[in-house]
Amino acid sequence: MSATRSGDCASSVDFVVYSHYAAIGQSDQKGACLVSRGETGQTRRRLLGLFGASMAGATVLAACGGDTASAPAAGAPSSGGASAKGTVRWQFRGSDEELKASQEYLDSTFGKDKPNVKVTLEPAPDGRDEKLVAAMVGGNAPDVFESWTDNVTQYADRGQVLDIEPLVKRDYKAEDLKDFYEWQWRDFVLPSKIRFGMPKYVNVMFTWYNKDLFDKAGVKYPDEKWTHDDYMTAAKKLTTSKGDQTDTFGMMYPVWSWDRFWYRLEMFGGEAVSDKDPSKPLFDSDKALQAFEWVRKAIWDDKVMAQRLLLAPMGQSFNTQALFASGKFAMVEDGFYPFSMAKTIEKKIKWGYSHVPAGPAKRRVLGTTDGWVGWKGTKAPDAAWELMKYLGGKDYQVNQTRTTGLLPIRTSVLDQWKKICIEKYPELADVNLDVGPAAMKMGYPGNRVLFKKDAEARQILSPALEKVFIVGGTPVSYFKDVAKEVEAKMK
Amino acid sequence: MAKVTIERIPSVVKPLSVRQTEERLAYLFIAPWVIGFTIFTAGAMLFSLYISMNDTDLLSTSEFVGLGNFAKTFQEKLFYKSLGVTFTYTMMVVPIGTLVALGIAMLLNQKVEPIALWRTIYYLPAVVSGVAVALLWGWVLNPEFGLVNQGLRLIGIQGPRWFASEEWAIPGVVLIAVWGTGTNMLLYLAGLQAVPTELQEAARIDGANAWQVFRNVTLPLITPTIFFNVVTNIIASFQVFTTAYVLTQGGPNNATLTMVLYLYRESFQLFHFGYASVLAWMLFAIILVFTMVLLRSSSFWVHYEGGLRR
Repeated sequence: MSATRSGDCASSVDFVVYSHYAAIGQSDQKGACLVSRGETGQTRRRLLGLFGASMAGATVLAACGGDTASAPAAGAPSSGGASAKGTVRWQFRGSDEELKASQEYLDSTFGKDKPNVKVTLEPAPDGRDEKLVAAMVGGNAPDVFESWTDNVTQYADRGQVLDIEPLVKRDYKAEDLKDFYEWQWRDFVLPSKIRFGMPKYVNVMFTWYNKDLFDKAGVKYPDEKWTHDDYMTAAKKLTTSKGDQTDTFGMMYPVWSWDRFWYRLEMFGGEAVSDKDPSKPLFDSDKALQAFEWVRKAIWDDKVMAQRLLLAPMGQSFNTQALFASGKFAMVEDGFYPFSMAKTIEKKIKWGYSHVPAGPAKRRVLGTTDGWVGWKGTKAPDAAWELMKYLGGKDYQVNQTRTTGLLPIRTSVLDQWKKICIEKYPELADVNLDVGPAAMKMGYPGNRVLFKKDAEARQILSPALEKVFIVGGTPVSYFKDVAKEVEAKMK
Repeated sequence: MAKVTIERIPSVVKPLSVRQTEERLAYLFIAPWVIGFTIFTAGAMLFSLYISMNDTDLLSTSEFVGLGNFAKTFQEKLFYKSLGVTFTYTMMVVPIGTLVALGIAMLLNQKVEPIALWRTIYYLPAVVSGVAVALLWGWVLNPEFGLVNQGLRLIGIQGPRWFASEEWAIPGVVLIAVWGTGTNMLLYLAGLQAVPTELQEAARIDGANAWQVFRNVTLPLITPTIFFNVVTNIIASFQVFTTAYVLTQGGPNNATLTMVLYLYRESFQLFHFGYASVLAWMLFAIILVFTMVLLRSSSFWVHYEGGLRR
């Protein structure tokens, strides 16, 4: 085709036709246009007609897309477990090893006890949260999936979560319920009074400490009497540098995540939000600001707390356990993962667990609310509930411990838990695993009080934490403005 | 008895002409695309238009609010923030990307061996997936140990904090985009190679220097390519999402909260699907306005070989 001759034909359609005739050797280009214009007028009308018909069809399709807002039919299980039958899609979030172990155990136990219930295990995909929402909208969410308060509140507010409270009352006796941890059992009831699921495991924030670095610096190991002052003093002694580059940080604490940060406010006597009025943020109080300031000073003034960007780019996670094992941090405030840590550390260092040091007001940490949730739109609610009961049962919890080492949700199997951990990784005998059960007895873990519009509040809080603790250069009084913004959003 | 003669009535159905046959075949060939477009694009757009007039989470509530969602955008601080971020990004990445791509194309238009290797090297970044690019550059632009700041430190310059800085986060995203400008470069290279060499030689014979040849002969003849690239780049840059999502999650402190990321958050994290649909339509309108302005302006600065000015 020769170069564009846009001036010769009146429209781009004419031009296309002209080009066709030019390509097949018709020399009279103007004549070709005149000839083509007659025919393209016909073609253009037809094309427009076709397009209009397509759009009309699309409109009909869109209108026939169904009710845009239809909560699934209430999947209320009808009677007890004996009649449970159907297929249950169980979405599993864990490693391949955990998934395989769960599938095998499921087949050999639940599969035999409940032959009428077929459970299909599916691994949680990347982008799970968004895909779960899309699946709920599309009406084909998994029957049982894992969630926690940050997400599940949103699903529950939109009628997507099976309230298992009536089922618990029907199927569990009071003695059964005593086997669960009171604080965890309590935190599985949302502000909307829905009991959103069965706990999956217990995860509590503890201090991991590198004994080798403590020995080298001549610092006494942390114990349950430690205060925040002891914490800071130790961190200063443990932080080492080479020139202007820090070799080892005294402490690492994921301050950029509200989920991990909120309890520090309570340690200093403050609160994130009023539990009587969840539309009222309280993190601008003097005590709360002291907590913010303690962290800010540790990062920017004393430089003993690891800065986020020295660990990995924003948007990327980093392997805290690997960095701990390499000696980058002397102390880490994070969850309780005995097997994972033993596997990562591989006896390269001597380490241990301790309670997170008490704050000026009290000791308080996050006890997670990861649990198994039943989708309200499930076509087999009885079967889904039977699976959830099974997952919260002693046998499955012991089996889960064999693969993960995570603290079970049942107090009666705690002894088995510790034994299993030490059998699998003998070095865990020296890491003070007792801190886990002790924390349960002391009762200081728990979940945070949720804001009235929690997701909206976190979307304001997260950038604020970034500004103060990642970008730096902003005083903690900034959180007073943030509190006003959050309060306005709650209306 | 009267004799009845039956005559064959000639068929009124004319056989199809070649042109008509070709037309039907053309419709048949484009039918898959039309059907796909109707269902997955046009249909989705119409549905989006419908829910933009509703306060809906697509799960439990749906209330017709007319233009209420549209009015809400003007009350949301983050809407203006995301608009500003996206606008800043576009105004930086399009001119810088154009200059860089054109500059590289001009270099690759020289007779330098091994030219195929050089072209491959400069084009390679364009074939790397967006997620991989974002992850890679997250490390390269790390303020403490990233390659860029380490290199700057060697020559005595304290590098910026890139994605740890509200001022430098967007320039960081622009840098990543410009690095991947291989496709534009290729188009400019094709445009440069289409410039008739006799025109350039004639200019040189008349005493023009290299800059004069470029300014008065080459540049006007590649304006169609520049026009195409600028239009497509503006459309693409207004829709930037991957780098912000993977690398910064819109941070720090919403410094890289692009419109599409804002829309994504409002829909999938806050369930405001109606409001998010309005944001999508507003973005569409903004891009359309920019495109129309550029199309209108093209008659003043885009020169087609042998073309007639209107």
